Amino acid sequence: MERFTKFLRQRAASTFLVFVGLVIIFSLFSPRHVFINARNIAALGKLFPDLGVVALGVGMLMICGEFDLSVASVLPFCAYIFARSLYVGIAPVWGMVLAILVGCGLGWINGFLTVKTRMPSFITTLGTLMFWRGILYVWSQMMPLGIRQYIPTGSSFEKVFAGTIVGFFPVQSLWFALFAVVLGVLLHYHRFGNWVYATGDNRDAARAMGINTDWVKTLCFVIVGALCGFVACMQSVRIGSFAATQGIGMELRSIAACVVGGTSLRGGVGSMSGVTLGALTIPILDNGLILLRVPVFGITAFIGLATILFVVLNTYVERRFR
Amino acid sequence: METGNDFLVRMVGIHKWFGRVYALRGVDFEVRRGETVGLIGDNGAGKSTLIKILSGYHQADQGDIYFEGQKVKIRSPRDARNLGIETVYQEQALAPNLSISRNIFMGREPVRRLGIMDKKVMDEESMKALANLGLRLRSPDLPVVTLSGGERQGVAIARALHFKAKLVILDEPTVALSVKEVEEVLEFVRQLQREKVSVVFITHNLYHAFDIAERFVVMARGLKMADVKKEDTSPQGLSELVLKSAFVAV
Amino acid sequence: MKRAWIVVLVISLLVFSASWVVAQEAKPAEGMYFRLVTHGGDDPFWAVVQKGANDAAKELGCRVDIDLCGGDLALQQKRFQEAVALKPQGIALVINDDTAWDKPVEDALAQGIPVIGMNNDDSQGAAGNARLCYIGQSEKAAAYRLARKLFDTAKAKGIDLSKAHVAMAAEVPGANYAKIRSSGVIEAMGEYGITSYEIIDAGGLEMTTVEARETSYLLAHPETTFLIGLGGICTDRLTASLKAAGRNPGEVIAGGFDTTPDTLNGIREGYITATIDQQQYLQGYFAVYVLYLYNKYGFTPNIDTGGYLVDSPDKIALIEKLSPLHVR
Repeated sequence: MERFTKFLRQRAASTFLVFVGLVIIFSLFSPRHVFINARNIAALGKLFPDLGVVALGVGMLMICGEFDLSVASVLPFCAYIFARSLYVGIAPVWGMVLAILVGCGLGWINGFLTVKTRMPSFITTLGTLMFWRGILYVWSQMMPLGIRQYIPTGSSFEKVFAGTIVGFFPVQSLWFALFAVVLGVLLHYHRFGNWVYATGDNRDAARAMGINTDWVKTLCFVIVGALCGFVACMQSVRIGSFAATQGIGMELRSIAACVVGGTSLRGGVGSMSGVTLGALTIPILDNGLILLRVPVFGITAFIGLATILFVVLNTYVERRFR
Repeated sequence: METGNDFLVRMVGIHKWFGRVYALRGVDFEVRRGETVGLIGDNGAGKSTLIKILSGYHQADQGDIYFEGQKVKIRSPRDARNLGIETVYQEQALAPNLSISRNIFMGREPVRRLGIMDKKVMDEESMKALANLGLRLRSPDLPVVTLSGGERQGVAIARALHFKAKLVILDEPTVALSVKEVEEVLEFVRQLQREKVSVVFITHNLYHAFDIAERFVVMARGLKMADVKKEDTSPQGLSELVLKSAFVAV
Repeated sequence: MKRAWIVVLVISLLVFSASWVVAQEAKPAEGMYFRLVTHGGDDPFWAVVQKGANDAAKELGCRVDIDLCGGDLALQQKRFQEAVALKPQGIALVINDDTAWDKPVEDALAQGIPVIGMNNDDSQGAAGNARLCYIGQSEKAAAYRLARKLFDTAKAKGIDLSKAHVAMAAEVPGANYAKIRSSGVIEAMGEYGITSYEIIDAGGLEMTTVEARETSYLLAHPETTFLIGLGGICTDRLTASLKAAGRNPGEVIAGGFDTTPDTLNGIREGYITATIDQQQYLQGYFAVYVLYLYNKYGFTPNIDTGGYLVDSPDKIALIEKLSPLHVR
């Protein structure tokens, strides 16, 4: 019992329980148990990492006390860089490196602005969100760019970032797992992670103890940007083109995934496993409801309601078992 | 005549402006080795500013600081800590959601290869540091927010002690604590004294100060108004000094 | 003899300069200014409309500006007033509301500014709004045409249409485009005896959400006979969703709107039967020309820019050739 209450004290504990509950309910009650059908799992595993990988970075940033709303623009911007680089004849690998570097740069700009102007990151990244999307629209004229001619289906690049292993399991999930593990180790076992937590939990204390909080925050922003660059390429390869609507809504949905996974909006609290949970739970809920043949009209409203309930539940349970 | 070597810290002629506000108007302040000094005075006297200069949080506009006889420049909290000056702020010392051991080693985490923290060392050393202070806590993984106010101050003081501080500055450590917790904190300070650590104790509460300090420095409006030894005064006497200083026209 | 050569030279020079001057004659609509007030926004559709308008303006020598109000009706109304205040030679307005535009258009016309409708029209056409004429695709007619093509294809395969189920995916189910296009499909359904249908909320404009919803729906509803994307993004994701749900090409008769790379690919691979190219270039192009011609001669033609059905490889080739030019 003692161990159970200790477990419940983790902020994401109730999300985990609900998650398990949902999986069980959907598995049992979806017609022909199609929820655990290999195709369905493969579809989930293929699609959730787009948001999931970005959410990992956003979560780490939230833990150090900042927000990044610009992910919704950085992602398509990097995707466009990737697509254009292919058109200019650059090999896909280097195109991806370039996209990730651009993402790092845009992230660095976010960090620099936030840290130097001392404005809330909510505001600075709102500004960069609008700025980069505006630049992108003028530059790309909002036209899609097909890239299948440069990365044909079946090519090794396509297989590495959008293929499957053992016949059906999507590699996107493996990439997500890689990032989750790396960032998890960084956050929970590395001293940089302690600085991230300290900066978010009590910035003055961290500074008094000699932690360069400006640098910590900037690095977190850079990580978010890099992840956006990576997902931009991974996603573009999968959909076969650059589309100007890539990334729309991701700024809020990544925050939602983090919050559902137990990350505090005030900083200092959260975990990569929690973010993973949050990034999985919402798509599973979405998917499960449709599989239960619930009418799909207006399902988005229901998901929003569920998100609120999760957060309330998390906070309530955590407080109750403190 | 006391020579410079008896003094651990000497601040000479410190002036500080914040924009137009003249916060410190030429203050001299000394602390001997192993001495506990109570720094008292009303709000706005400049006590916090003075010790923030000593902890590296601010820089003096004019004046010199001597540490162990040598002139030093303290440009950041890190410089101060390297000299052996640790500060325990009232609310700002600890990150509430982090564990005790993560707090104690904040910014100074012992690492194995590639920067991975040595959790085993952190946990062991934390418990030892707490025990040295007489603070018995269940586990180093407890988030600091679950501790009482007195225990939290204990953790902050244990941190200072662990890192071999020569001078520990306590900025209003007993504010908002219960009577029992205050006694705990004073006991921690007595432990520091037993370890021959110099202490600067800032407080509004003259009774707490009188209990623990050997010498009192009274400040008002950026100036040092009085410097008395404990045996030459009483809590009442101190109170009168503070009141008088507040009314002196400058 | 030398004198003769000089005379020839001088006359040649004169002739050349004269023709050069004649060639530099002013373009027909020099000095005119037209404004397109639209509810469009961040998508390739409106980029093409803009190109059409700009190309027409270049040919005619006039100036044109286009307002993209992103679906915000209040903003669009503000822009319309601003456009009127600029006293242009004509305004082309997207009439996306049956009542909100009645008075503003009347007032503008009273001030002597020609106003024509483009892209979207009052549902009662000329009876519902005072605009001089309308240029655009009848969205409903295009959807109807598409649906009929899909249903004919199914009939040819011998599928029993009375038991068929039509699924329509819309990015924003409540939006005008979704409502109008679905009504066109439903009308076609009536003629073929199909009764079962569902409109899928695809969850917005983001590709991954749309793909996830469509895939989930297909897995949940194996009885789906027809899958129609009501918008460009839903159509783009049809192929991937069909593949993910394990359907073979042609198992589900699919179709939709717009000609994104993956949609065209889907047609090639046989997953998608047809898509509608809205030829929105013409909406921008003709809007400018009609306004110019109204100023010159007073014509007020209603032009149906039509929905071009893309369903065969050579049509795909044509689109792909023109797509980089932002023309289709």
